[in-house]
Amino acid sequence: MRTARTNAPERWRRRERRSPLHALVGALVLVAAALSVTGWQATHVPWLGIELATQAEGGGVAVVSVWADGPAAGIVVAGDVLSGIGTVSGEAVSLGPADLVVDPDVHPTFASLNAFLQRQDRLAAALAAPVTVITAADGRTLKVQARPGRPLSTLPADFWLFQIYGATALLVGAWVWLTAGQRLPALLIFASGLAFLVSTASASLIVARELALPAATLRNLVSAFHLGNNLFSLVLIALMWHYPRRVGGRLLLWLFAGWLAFAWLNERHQWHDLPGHNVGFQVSIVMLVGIVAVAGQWRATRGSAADRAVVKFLLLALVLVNIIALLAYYHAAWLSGRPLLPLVGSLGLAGLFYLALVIGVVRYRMFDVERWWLHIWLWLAAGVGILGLDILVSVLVPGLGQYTLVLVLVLVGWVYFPLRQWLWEKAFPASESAQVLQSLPAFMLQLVTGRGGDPESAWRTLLDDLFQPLETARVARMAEVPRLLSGGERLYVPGLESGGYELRLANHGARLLHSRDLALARTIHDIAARLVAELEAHRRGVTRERERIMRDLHDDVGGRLLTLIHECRQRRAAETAREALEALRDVIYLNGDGEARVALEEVVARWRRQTRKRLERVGVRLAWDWDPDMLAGFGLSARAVLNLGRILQEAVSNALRHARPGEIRVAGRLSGEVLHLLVANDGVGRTGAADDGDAGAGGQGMENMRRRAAELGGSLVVEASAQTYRVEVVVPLARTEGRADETLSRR
Amino acid sequence: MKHCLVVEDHAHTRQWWLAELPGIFPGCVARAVSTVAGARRLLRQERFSLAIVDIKLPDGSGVDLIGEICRRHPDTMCVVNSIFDDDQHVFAALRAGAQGYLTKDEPRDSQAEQLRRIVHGQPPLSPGIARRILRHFARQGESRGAGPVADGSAHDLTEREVDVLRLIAKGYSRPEVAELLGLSVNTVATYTKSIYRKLDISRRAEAVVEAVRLGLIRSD
Repeated sequence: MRTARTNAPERWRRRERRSPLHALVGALVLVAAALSVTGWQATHVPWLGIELATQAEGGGVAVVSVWADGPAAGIVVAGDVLSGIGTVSGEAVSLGPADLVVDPDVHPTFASLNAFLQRQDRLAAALAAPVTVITAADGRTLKVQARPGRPLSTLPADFWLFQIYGATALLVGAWVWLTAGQRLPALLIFASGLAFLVSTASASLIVARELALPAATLRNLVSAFHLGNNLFSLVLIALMWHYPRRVGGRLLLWLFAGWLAFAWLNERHQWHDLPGHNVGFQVSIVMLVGIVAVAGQWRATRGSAADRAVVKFLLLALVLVNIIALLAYYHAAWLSGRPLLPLVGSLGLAGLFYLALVIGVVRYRMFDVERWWLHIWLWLAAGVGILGLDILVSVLVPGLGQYTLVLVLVLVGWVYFPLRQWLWEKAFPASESAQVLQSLPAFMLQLVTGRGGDPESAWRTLLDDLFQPLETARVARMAEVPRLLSGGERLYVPGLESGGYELRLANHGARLLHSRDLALARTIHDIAARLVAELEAHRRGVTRERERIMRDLHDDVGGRLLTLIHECRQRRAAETAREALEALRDVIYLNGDGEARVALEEVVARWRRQTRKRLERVGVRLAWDWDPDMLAGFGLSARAVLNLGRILQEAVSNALRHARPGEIRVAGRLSGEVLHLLVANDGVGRTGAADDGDAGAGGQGMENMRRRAAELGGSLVVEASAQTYRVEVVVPLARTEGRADETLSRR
Repeated sequence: MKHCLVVEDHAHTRQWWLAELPGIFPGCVARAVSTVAGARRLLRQERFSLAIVDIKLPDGSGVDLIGEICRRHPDTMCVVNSIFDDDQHVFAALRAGAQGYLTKDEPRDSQAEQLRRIVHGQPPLSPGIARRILRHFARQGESRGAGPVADGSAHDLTEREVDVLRLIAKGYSRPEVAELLGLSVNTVATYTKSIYRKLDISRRAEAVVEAVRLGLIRSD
């Protein structure tokens, strides 16, 4: 069943894309329609224009405030305590704290719910009468003519908050769905947004009532609210059933849907009380199924960091937040009779999911949505926001007139844009282009000059700088261009010469790799590959040139030196000519080939033979003190071969001149990645051998040795007394990483 | 060694060989030319038992000339004499059929001595050449399908020969190799000679395969 466990983002691959902007505008229209319907509904109920609160002691409810232009203005004043409401002809209904309960859901049984609804019905009837008779606690009877409707501006803040929740949910849902294509998870997100809008719209009407609504209306609103809630639960559970991996069979999901349908019908028809608390019990079941789904996802995403990140996100943004909201509301109501949070707070918590979803989509690469969609969204939000703000300000502060727009612009400039900027920076921490501009020149310089390491390590450093991956692994070459792997968990980038790299998770593991990262990787890889090709061409030119010089030197200088070696009567001069020829060879072979590395083993073998032959000619023994096995895996640059070879030669020459010795010791030792090279004579033999001509040459030679050691980043110590001569060179080396080293083997 | 041919464009060296060869091989007649074309002309006219060939010649490559001599005059022993001791050229010459090499900057008496040794079947072997020979046989073993051979153990060379090559590749001298392997210096020289011979055999085997491929020899 491997196929069933393929990567979810791959499985839900985008198939088609329709014009997203049109559809998004469609969603906006839907939101506007919902707003209009609820707004119309909320403002077309009988209105007294008073705000009530629970009275601390005794019965009745207290008047908190009275709308100045409302029907009760001048009749009822803030601070009055009301004990009953009725009609002129009918009996007054006594008012109590229980009547101010906003949400019918807190009632545990159908019996208590029905009692509440009945009182609501009677109160609503009193409000709907031509004249409403209010009984104050102090015995006064106040007559108020309730208006058949109320101005929009008198609706409570909660009403507007619910509208905002619903609109956000629907717009985010639509955004995800439209941008992610016709994929089931995205469709479910959209459906959940619709369901949430149904919930918030009905809830907004429930909370917007001044005192009471007719029982039938309230029951319908509660039913609609529960329908929205149940659908919301169902689609989100279905989402977690399918995304990022599929867990469990369809049957369980159908069972869950059946249960939700039953529970809703049971509510509607009041067949039977559920154990404990009607709504609380239902909510508990939903929570349980949600936890099971998330546990299943957790298990199914073992070994895939990309999918696991999505699960973690869903767990945090959806499951935990919803559980907290539900516990704080329904379970608190179940246990103590009073929710810990107002309805607006708990629904707000649930709605946070949609805000988190935006971040999830951007940071966790959920649904494969590209980040430029966020641009569209913010752009749309800005337009709608300014419009909405303009209307809001003109409604709330009517006298402002022409300055409304100025105020709105000020708000937008100082609040919206900084907020947007902040959000943007949170979502995309490092600006890649700035990073590229910082890192690329240094990389190119390094490639051209060869300073600070070989091109391959420079390339790796650049990749690490740009993407800051959690880890970078050297892998075999799998393609010539960068690729995203495991749904963005890893990014493969080819090496400059061979192999490739796999970068795991960007920004130190904080985010997955996007197709934008892929595009960036492709671009810089293209640049680097071109640069390398260019350098290679240049190097080939150098090689040709070197071959030409080599020919010239061979024909011209080489021949003359040879003549000198063989024809010159003076042994010293012949020896010098031979040294010159050796130097000439090294220069021809190695110069200009700055990139090639020669295996240290090979170089040492050559030095050994060279030195032995040389000492044989003058009858001096060679004590060669190297451990050949230690040398494996190290390589020397052409420059290092040349410089160390010259130092060795010069040191041997000096040791020979200093006190004609019986033996010369050449010892090599590696400590870590540092090469210690020691040349010493045994100090026996003719003393005072250094004749006058050598002092100057020795001084010059010493200077050359020092310069050559310094060029390799090393140092040189010379100890010379009348009898002994000793040179020790310390030079850092580089590991060759098992590369083939046949470029420069000689002899 | 009755007849020696020197192909050398460096006048001094040419003169020196002409003067020296009768001393190295008593009674020998030496002829010298400075170009590939001159060598071809002489080879058509006379038979030589020894040819000393420089690698870089004004009108061509000494390596090619050596290949030609070995094909057409199998009795002629070829020795490379070059100022540049790079393995690449020397090894190419050995593969073409040269049976030894001398570097020109060696003291002359030592060159004479080495030539004598080559003729007597004790060819020189430098670390770089030893390394190349090992690599060559390892590759040959690989291409024959013996699987990847990392150290040259599964090819035509004997274990002892591989030991000798490896030590020489590390820079040990022949006496040192003899001591390390518990052999006499002569035995080590014999191994070197057999290594050279196998290099030649492998060259001939390749030549046969090539000839079969070209249809020059019937394979059945």
